[in-house]
Amino acid sequence: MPGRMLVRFILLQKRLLRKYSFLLMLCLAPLFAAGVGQLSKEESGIATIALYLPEGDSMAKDVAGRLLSGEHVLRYLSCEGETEARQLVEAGKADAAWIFDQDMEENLRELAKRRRVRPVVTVVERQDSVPLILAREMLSAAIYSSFSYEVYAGYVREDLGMEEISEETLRAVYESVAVEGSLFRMVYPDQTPGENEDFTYVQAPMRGILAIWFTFVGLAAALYFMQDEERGVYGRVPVTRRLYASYGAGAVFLVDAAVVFLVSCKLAGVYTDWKREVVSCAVFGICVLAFANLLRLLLRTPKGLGLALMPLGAVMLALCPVFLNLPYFRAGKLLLPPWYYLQSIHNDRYLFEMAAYSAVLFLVSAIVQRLRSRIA
Amino acid sequence: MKQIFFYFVAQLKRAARILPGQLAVDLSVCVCVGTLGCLLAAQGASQTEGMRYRIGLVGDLSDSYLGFGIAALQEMDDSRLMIELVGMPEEEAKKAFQQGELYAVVRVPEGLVESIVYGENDRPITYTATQGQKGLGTMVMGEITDIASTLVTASQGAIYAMQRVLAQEDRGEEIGRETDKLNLALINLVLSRSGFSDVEILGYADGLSFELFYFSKLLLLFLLLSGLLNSALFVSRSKSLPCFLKARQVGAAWQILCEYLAYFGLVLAGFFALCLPLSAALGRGLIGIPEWEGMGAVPFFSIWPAFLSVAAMFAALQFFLYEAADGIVNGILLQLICGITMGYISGYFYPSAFFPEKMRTLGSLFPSGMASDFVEGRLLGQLRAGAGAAVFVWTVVFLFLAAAVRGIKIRKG
Repeated sequence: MPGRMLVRFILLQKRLLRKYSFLLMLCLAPLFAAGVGQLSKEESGIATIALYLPEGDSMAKDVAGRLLSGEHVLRYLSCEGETEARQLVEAGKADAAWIFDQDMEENLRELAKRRRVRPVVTVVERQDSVPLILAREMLSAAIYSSFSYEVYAGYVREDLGMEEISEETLRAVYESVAVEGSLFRMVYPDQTPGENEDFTYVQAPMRGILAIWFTFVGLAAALYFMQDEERGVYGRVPVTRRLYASYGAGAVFLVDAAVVFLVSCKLAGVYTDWKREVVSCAVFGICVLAFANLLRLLLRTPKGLGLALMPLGAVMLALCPVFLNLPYFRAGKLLLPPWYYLQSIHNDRYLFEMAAYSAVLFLVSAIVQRLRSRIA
Repeated sequence: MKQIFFYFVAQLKRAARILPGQLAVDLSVCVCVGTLGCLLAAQGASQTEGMRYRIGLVGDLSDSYLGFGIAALQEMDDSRLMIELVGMPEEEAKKAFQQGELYAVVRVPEGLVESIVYGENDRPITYTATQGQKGLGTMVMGEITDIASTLVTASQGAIYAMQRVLAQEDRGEEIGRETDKLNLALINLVLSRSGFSDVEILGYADGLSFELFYFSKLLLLFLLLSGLLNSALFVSRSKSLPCFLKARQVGAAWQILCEYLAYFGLVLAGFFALCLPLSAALGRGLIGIPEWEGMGAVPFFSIWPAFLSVAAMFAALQFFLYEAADGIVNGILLQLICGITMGYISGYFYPSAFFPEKMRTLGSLFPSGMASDFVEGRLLGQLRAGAGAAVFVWTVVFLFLAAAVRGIKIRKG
C-alpha cells in the first residue's frame, strides 16, 4: 500500500513538474522574496528628514550623531544650508526639514541654567502626519540627552554652589555613571527576544504574502482536481473514496509549494528556527489542504471555485496580519488558515488551534462528501 | 471578417454567461470593503475624539514611584492623547491581547524601580505587541520604547552624576534633598520636551490626502487582481479551438483581440459594479475624502477615464498571463503572485515613499507603477503624458505577447 501510494505520488509529481508554467509559478515566489530581501537592505524610512546642522556646533553634532546611529525607521538627508533643507521639503523630496539653531549649544546651555524648554530646532513640514509626530519625539529625545547633561552641570554649579568646578571634572563624573542599555525589550508570546529576528518593515509582510500564495496553491490544486474529475481522470475511483484522492492530489501540489515557501521565507529574511518553521509549515499545509477541499465540496464547480478566489484573496489580505492587524471580525479570521499560521510562528497555542481547525475541516468535508454521495 | 465577427460575438456570449456570478461576487467584495472602510473610518474618528490605544500593564506594579510615573504619563505627558495604560492581572491581559482588545502587553519585572534607582537597569520591561512576527506597527512601538528609555537613562545619568559630585565633596547628607529637587526639575523638562522644536507647516497641497490615496489604491488593486475574479472565463478552454479557428482564417492576433475585448468587457463590468455603490456613498457623503468634500460623486466620475485606461492595461496583462500559463491553475497562481508583487512594490499597500530608492524606481517601472502615476496625476488635475503613454504601450505589449504565445501554440498544434 505505501509503495503504491509512493508510485502515485511520483507519477502525479512528474505530471505536474512537466508543466513549465507551474515551474515558473513556483520560481516566481522565491524570486520575489529574494528581490525584496535584497532591496530592503538599502536605506529606507517611513519619513525622510532633511537635516541641517550649523558648522562647528558640537552639541548639534552630538544630537545628529544620536539620531543617525543604529537602525531607525527614518531616513535622513544631510543639507549644506537652511535654504536647501527647506527646498527639499517644498519640492517633496523630504517630508520634513530639521534646521538646528546656529548657536544651539549656547542656547541649550542658557535654557538648562534656567531649566526651561524653548525651541532650538525649526521643524519645517509639508503637512503633519503620524510618522512625523513620531520623528519629532525622536528628535526631542535626542536633544534631551544632551540637555540633561547641561541641566546637571548647571545644577551643580548654581544650585549646589560649585561654580569653580571644571567642565572636565563634570564631564568625567557624568561619563563614569552613564547608564547604558535599554529599559525595554520586545519579546514574542513564546518569550523569544524581538532582537533575535533582524529584518526591516519592508521585509515584514513577506511571510504573510507567501502564506496567502501558499493557500492559493491549495485552492488551485482543488481546482485542478475538479478539472481532472470532469475529464474522467478519477472515473475508476469510487465516489466514496474521491475525497482521499483529492487529498492525495492536493498534497502533491502542497509538498512542492511548501519547499518553495520555506526557501522563500529564508530568502526574504523572515526565517526563524528551522524546527519551528518546518512544523508550522507542515500543519499549515494540512490545514490548507483541508480548507481547499472543503471549499471544493461546497462550491461544487470549477467556475464556482474560480469566482470565489478574488473575495477570498481580498478577505485574507484584509483580515490576516499581513499589512495591518485589525481588531475586528475575529470570527471571520478564525476561518482563514493563514491567520493561524502567521500567529503560530511564535505561539504554540495557534499551532494547536490550527491543527484542531484542520481536524474540524476534515470532519466537515467527510460529512459533506457523504451527503453528496447519498444525494447522487 | 465575418468569421472574426462571429467569433467575437461567441466570446461576448461566453463572458455574459459568467457575468451574473461575477456581479454577485463584486457585490460581496463591495459589502466587505464597505464594512471594513466604515470600521476603519469609525476607528479613525474615535481616535481623533479621544479613543486611545489600550496597553495592558502586568507584573509588579506595587511600587509607589512606578505608580507616580504611570500617573504622570496618563495625566501630563503628550502620550496620554494616544495611549491608555491599564493595569491588570497577567491572565486577563493575555486573554484581552488575544481578543485584540489590547494593543500590547507590558510586563513590569519585580524590583524594576530599585534597578533604576541604583542605575543597574538590568531588569528590562518586556513588552509583547504582536502575536505573530513583528511588522511595521511593532517596529514603531520599538522606536517609542527607545524614546522612553532614552528619556529615563538620560535623567538617571544627570541624577547619579550629581549624587557622585556631592559624595566626592563630602556633602552626603544633602544627596536625598538635592536628588528630589533635581528629579522634579527633570520630570518637568521631560514633560515639556516637545517645546524643543518649533513646527512650521508649509501646507503644500500637491500630494493626495491619506483618504484619497487609499481610495485610489484600493480601486487600482481591485483592477490589478480582477484576473482572479474573471478566472471562470478560462476554466474550460479548448486546446484545439485556436487551430480550428486558424484554419478558418481567424489568425492568432484576431483571436486574441476578440477574446481580449470580451475579457475587457468583463473587467469593466466588475469595475462599474464596484463604482456604482461607491458613487452612491460619495454622493451621500458616506465616504469622507477631504479633496472632494461637498462635491458629491462628480470628481469621481471625472477620473473614470483614467481608471478605464488602466483597466485596459491590467486586462491585457491578466489576459497575457492566462495565455502564457499552461492551464487555469497556473494561470490563477501567476495572477496572484504577479498582482501582489506588483501591488506591493508599486506602493498599493504601503506608500512607496517607505521603500528604498531602488525599490521605488523598480515599482514605478512596473505597469502597476505607471498606472498609479497616471491615476495620481489625474486626481491632482495634472496630465502626466509620459505615464499615459506608458499605460498605452504596456497594453499593446501585453496584447502582442499574448498573440505571440497563441501563435506558438497554434504552430505546435
